[in-house]
Amino acid sequence: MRYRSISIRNSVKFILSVLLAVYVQEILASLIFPVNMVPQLLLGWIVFLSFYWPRPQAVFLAFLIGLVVDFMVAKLAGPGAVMAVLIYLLLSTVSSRLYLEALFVKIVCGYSSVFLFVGGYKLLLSIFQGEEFSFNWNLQYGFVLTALLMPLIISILKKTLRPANSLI
Amino acid sequence: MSLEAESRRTTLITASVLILLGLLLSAYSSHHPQLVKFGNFVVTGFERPVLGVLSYSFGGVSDVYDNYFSLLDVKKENTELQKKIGILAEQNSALQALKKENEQLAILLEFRKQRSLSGIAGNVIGYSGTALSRSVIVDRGWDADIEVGQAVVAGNALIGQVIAVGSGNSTVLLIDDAASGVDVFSEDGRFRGVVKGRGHGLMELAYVPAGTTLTIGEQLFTSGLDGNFPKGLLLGYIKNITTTDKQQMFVSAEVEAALNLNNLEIVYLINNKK
Repeated sequence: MRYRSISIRNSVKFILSVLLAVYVQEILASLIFPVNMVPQLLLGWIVFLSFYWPRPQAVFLAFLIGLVVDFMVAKLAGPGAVMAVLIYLLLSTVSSRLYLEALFVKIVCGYSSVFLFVGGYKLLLSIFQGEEFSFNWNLQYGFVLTALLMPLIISILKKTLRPANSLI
Repeated sequence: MSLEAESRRTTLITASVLILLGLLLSAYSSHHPQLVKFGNFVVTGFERPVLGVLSYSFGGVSDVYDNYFSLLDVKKENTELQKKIGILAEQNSALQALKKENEQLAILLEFRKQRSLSGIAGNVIGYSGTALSRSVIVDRGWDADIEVGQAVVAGNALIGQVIAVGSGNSTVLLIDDAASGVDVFSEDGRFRGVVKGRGHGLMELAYVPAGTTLTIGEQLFTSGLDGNFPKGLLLGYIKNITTTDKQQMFVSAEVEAALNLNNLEIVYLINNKK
């Protein structure tokens, strides 16, 4: 169930958690996982926003998260933000028809979101930067890992950012 | 309009504006990369010092992953290389065998040209089992016009004579067999004698008149007087002089075969009739 309102405190918490995710993401990418196995953790935050966060603020936050991804990748500022907003719109639209507590739903949404995000990001890069569009359509370890981590990320975020008046 | 619908409309408008903004940013940053560099510095700058410290502790883990995946490739490559080595080793040994065979045939051919001896080449396909019976089986028989008594050479040296002929094979009595005896003369023609077999590649030179001086290493050739062997075939060398007593009628010496009779492969069966 979508939160009706969110406190400033929780908003700050959310932004801090995004920074923490950036931090963890960098550590995973730089020090632990091989390149093709790094999960896209920030997609978990976008999925969480789509499912639970109040709408007007959520779209802003999704945009900011996308922008953070852009700056992490350091190629262009914008494609990630655009894709984050589009994925938010898509997931928030279908979320009312899904049983969000089901593990399977979270995993499928996670995989779909990372698939669309990476595909769309590369497409926009090819448009604005003139790079040749190349996308691996096969099952990728990084995508699968992202999808499998999705329930855990959402669960942690729900516990951390639960509104005071929420029954969730 | 309900609150929910209003919220959705606001979200949609906001999202559209943000998407447009994102596209504009993309277009702008494609021409002004300093914007992205600055953003990257802001987002990741705070974590770099900590990452530097952590890299010491986690670097090993990353290396383990990298090395593990590299090792998987190396293992696969190693298996393929092992297979290739096996195939190449097999081919190499086949080529070595061919080379050896070619060398032996070249020697035989040269021998045949020099001596103008007719005959046929054959492969040794078996040995007699004991040292007492020194014979080999050759893959040429009566169908190749082989007859009992034909001299057999390998390389340029005599190794024996045919004692039995079958269909497709024949038995060759080697010169070191106890039943073998070959009339020989020395390389300078000073003396004649008979070489008798003693097994293990050794023979005895006998019936050399007393008073003849034998020299170790002297070559012995067939005399042709026994009627079985053509004249002038190398047989062996004097290895050791065993009887030097001048009171006896004959002197004798130990003779070593010119070839290793235990390692024969290709032989040449001389046609004595021609």
